[in-house]
Amino acid sequence: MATVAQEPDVEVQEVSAEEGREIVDQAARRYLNMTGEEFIAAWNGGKFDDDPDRPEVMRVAMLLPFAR
Amino acid sequence: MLSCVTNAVLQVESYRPSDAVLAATLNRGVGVPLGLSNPLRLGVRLHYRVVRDVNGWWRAQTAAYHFELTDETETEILAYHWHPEGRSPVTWPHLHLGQAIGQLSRVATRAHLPTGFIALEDLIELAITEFGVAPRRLDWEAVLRRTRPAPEQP
Repeated sequence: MATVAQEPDVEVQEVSAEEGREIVDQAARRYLNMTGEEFIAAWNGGKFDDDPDRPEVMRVAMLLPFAR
Repeated sequence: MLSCVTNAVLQVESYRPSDAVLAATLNRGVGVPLGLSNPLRLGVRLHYRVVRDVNGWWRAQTAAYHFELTDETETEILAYHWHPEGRSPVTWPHLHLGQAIGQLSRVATRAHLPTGFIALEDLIELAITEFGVAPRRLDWEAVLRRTRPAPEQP
């Protein structure tokens, strides 16, 4: 008889504001070679407005609520 | 439902009811490998609101998403986007075809191909049934069926 996995679903971690900023910073460095602060300034300044759906940009932009 | 394909941790801003849009991401925003024998990676970044549904239960309502499948170098194969607010003028759910699919024109890779609302369950099922990802649990179909949001409840 097959055994059906009963493991719980994914582990969820509620992050602190500081951890949230670290997530944004690490993603900006990984995908765009800039700091999180540099990304936020560039984003707010419209530097990515020519193509905000670029994969590297979206990967960081979608994390921005973590950095408030 | 993510346990169907990964044991990576999901980071969330908060569980508490709030009018603000909150963020969640898998593996601190970095694509997670989907098995040892498959080069596919899954990227999950989404926005949500904690709302009370008609039955009085609190639940996370999706407000925007960026779901992507990439190769092992994190070059995009495909990505489902929905960002109704923000800097992009494209506010409807759409699909991007990525460079890892193969030779595509610049027009094709930048095109926003319209879709309906895509639940994360849809992408997980796609990864398993079409991209050869081995599910991590035998009851994956039942799990996806149970957790998939109703069409009127993103």
